[in-house]
Order: sequence, then structure tokens, then C-alpha cells
Amino acid sequence: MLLIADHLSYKYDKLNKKNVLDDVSFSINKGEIVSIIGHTGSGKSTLIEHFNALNTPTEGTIYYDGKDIFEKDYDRKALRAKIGLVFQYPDHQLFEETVYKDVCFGPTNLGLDKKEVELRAYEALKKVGVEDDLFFTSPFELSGGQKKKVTIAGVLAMKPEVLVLDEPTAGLDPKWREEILNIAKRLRDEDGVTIILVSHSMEDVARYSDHIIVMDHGKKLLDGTVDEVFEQAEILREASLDIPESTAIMRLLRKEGYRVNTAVYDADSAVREIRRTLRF
Amino acid sequence: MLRDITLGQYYNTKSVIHNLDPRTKILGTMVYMVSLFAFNSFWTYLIAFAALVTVIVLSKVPVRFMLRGMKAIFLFLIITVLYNLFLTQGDTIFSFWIFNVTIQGLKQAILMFFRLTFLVVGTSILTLTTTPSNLTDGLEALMYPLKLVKVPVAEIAMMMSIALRFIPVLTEETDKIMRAQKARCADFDSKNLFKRIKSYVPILVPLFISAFRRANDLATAMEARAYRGGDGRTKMKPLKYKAGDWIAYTSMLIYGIAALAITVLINFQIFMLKA
Repeated sequence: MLLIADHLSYKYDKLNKKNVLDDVSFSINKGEIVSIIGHTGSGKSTLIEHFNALNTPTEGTIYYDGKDIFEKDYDRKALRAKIGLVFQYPDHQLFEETVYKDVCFGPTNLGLDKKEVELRAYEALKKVGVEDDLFFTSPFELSGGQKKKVTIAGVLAMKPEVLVLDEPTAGLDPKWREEILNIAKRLRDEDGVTIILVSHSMEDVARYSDHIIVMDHGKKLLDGTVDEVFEQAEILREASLDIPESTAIMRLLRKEGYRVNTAVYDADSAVREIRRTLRF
Repeated sequence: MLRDITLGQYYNTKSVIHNLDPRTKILGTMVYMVSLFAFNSFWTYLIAFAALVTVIVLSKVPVRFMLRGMKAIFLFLIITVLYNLFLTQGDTIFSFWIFNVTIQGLKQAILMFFRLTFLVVGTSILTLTTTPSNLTDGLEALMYPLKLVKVPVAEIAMMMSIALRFIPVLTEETDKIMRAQKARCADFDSKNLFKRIKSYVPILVPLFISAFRRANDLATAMEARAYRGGDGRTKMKPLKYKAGDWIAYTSMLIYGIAALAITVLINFQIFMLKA
């Protein structure tokens, strides 16, 4: 287990009675793609900001690689390089004159020498598929999807072991959504980076995930494999979350007596599965 | 944390003071401030204190909110008091090392302490009991005469309310940007001053870009709703004096006369004693 949240609770201030996070515990394994899903205000963003110690819990703690990250002498700067966090809005992060310089910001902060910084920036930009001719344009002239790629590269350049993406698909059209999520998957498959996706939509992230954690009102509602979580569609609905449409259709077909596999998370596989069943 | 900063620190409750017209409250605060500087005898300060306590009680705002403002000027207050205590010439009470504490100094220090305290608490009552938008409305109305000398009063008021509206938005944005850069190992508490200033560039650039974008969007939205400057614009809730306001003005007048009378009386006494 790489990352363990141990009875995590968080409040904005002591006077406030309401817990933003309320006794949340789970563990994440190395090399997994984990999705943390919940509605606005479910505490998912607050939760991930604990992973790299941007927030300090009121109670409980987090263990990374067997060590308590909120221990006094833990090196939290090094932690932030190991657990890379990409925020939702690229505009909150991009500031340099060129794309390339902006990606250099992270590794420069780690105190690496110039050559290493530039090599890492180049590799990171290549990895996310930013074309060479964009390297020296201003990041503010890019499209939303391109900006997103550059921000991911900006964090990747620090060579993180865990990459946390907050609402990676928000505000992007379907083509870009797919592309960004494919980058995440490729990082896991090729480099063994553990991926944590944060989203409010099951539809988007389900088929990429090995493991889903559902948050609701600061509490952990469900935790398990994709199938295990989707089995509990009723509980999900209570948290006003829906299972993907294709999965819902398969579950309905199953109820009607068709022997289809319900572990289907996107339209293509749904079509394939229905075809397979009908051929019988 | 940036979250803790509250400009326009309105305390939401219902009270006689909250209900007053913002013009009344602004003028009242001004009268009070002037009185603190104009009259400086023990008795007038006693009246000022009594007035302050009355207003605080009427406002129903917990006293700790009023004292919050004191925290900000604490250092300033200490320095002023010490400065007056040690550096006023006069009849020495006692002295140590290079310092002389005089009767006059002691009096002056005590006076300064109360003057500043009353000033800060008094003005904070205004901001605690008046919403920012009401405050700008009041200021606009009070600045109205300046129109005669071609001051664009309505535009200034509009700018003020827009600025007030965007303070929390930009504060939250700063917080988010800071976190995003911290996540890339940015270091904001370097001991080296030059490095520290430089470390704020990654926050300021995105913040400015976003502020300009917001300004642009807002201008477009205003344009789309046919905003054409302040002249002749009507208000949804025009300011209107109520019975409470006249009572407040009367109390202010009584307060002013009482303070003035006491000052005159004391000066007269001194005059008589000397004569």
C-alpha cells in the first residue's frame, strides 16, 4: 500500500462545527488508477490537497510509503515532488513567457542543475504529446486542452511517483477529454505512475479506473473496484451520482433476463456486449 | 491563511444601529472622530466612552469583533504610548537610565491610548453594522455636492462597489494560485528578501491575467445591459431617512453640545483660576 489515509478529519476552523472531511480512511496501491468521485462540496478537492500536505488534517493522518507525512521532520517539499498535484484550472498555474520555461518551474524549484531541468522538461512535454513548435509560444495563447497538457507536463517534470489530477476533463470537449485521460493511462502503463483522478462524473473516469472511492458530504460513501461500486447504484443515486449510461442499460437488460455482462462502462463495449449476447 | 482576511467585515444581525441610514452612520462616525480630536479633557472622554458603550450595546455586535481591529494597530498603539510617555517634557515623576517619565507625559500617553482605541472601535462599528454596498451608497450620497465641481461621483461609487465585490473573489483566487504553485514546490518563505519578492511572480502573473479577464467580462456584461455611466441612474433601493435617523442626529447634536459645553466650562474655570 503506497498511500494510506487514516481516519482523516478536516475543519476550516476550530469554531466551525462542520467537518469538511469526516473520518475518511482508505488505502491506494502502487500502480493503480484510482478515481475519487463526489459532488461539489463532497470534500474531494480538500481531500487530495492533504495528499501533498497543502492541507493539514484536524485529526488523523496520511502515510506515504510507510511514513507519516504530517510528522514534524518529514520533508514535505520532497513529498510534493513525489505526489504531483495538477489543479483544475491551468490558468492558476501558468505564468512564464514560454511553455518550455513554465514546465521548467517545478524541477528548478527542486534545485536540480540546469541540464537536468531542461532534459526533464523536454521529456515531460514529449510524454504528454505537446508538439515541438509549441515549446516556445506563450502558454496563454494555447487552447484549453493544450494548456491542460502543459500543466500536466509541468508537474510530470518533477518525476512524481503519484499523479493526482483534479477534474482533469472539466471544460474540455470529448476529444480532449479522451486524450487527457489516455495520457494518464499511458503514464501508469509505461512508467508505473500511480494515478488518482478526481471527478464528479462516473461516465468520464469509470472505464479508466481500477478502484473507485466515492465521497459524499465529507464522508467516504463507497470504496472498491469499479464493479463493486456500480453494484450499489442505489447508494450512488442517493449521493446524486449516476452510474454510466451504458452500465445502467446493461443492468436493465440483465434484469429483463438477458445474459449480458454488466461490467461495461462505455458505449463501444456496450454495443459489443449486446452483439455478443444476441448472437446466441 | 488568506481565508481569514475579511474586508468589509459586516456582522449580520438585526439592531437599531444596523437599521440606520448609511449616511447617518457615516456622519455620526465623522462627528465622533472630530470630537475625539477636538476635545481632550477627562470629562469629554468619559462622555465619548459612554456614547461608544451605548452604541455598542445598541448594535448587538459582540465586543470581540470590535476589538479585532485593535489587533492590527496593536504595535502602533504601543509605540505611540511609549513615545508620549518617555519623550514628553515636563515635571519628572521618576526616571531611569535615559528615560524621564513626566506627569504631562503620563497624561498624554493615557489620552493617546484612549483616543486611538475609541477611534478604531468607533470606526469599526460603522463597517460592522453596514453592508459594503450600503456603505458605498451612503458615500455616494454624501459626495453628491462634489458633482458641482465635476467630480464623477456616481462612477467613483460604481468603482468602489465593484472593487468591494471582487475582493473575496480575488482573495480566493490568490489562495488557489498559491496552492497550485506550492504543488510545484514553489517556496514562499525564503529568508532572502530578494528571492522572496521574486517568488511572488508566479502568483502575481496568473492573478493579474485573471483580474484583467474578469474586468473585461464585467465590462462586456455591463455594456450588454446598456450601462452608460452614472448620470440619471435610478436605484432599486433609494436611501430614505426614517424616524430612527432623526433620533440619531438629535443624539449626535446633544453629544456635540455636551462635549463642547464641558470643554468651554473647563477652560473657563482654568481661566478664572489663573485670573
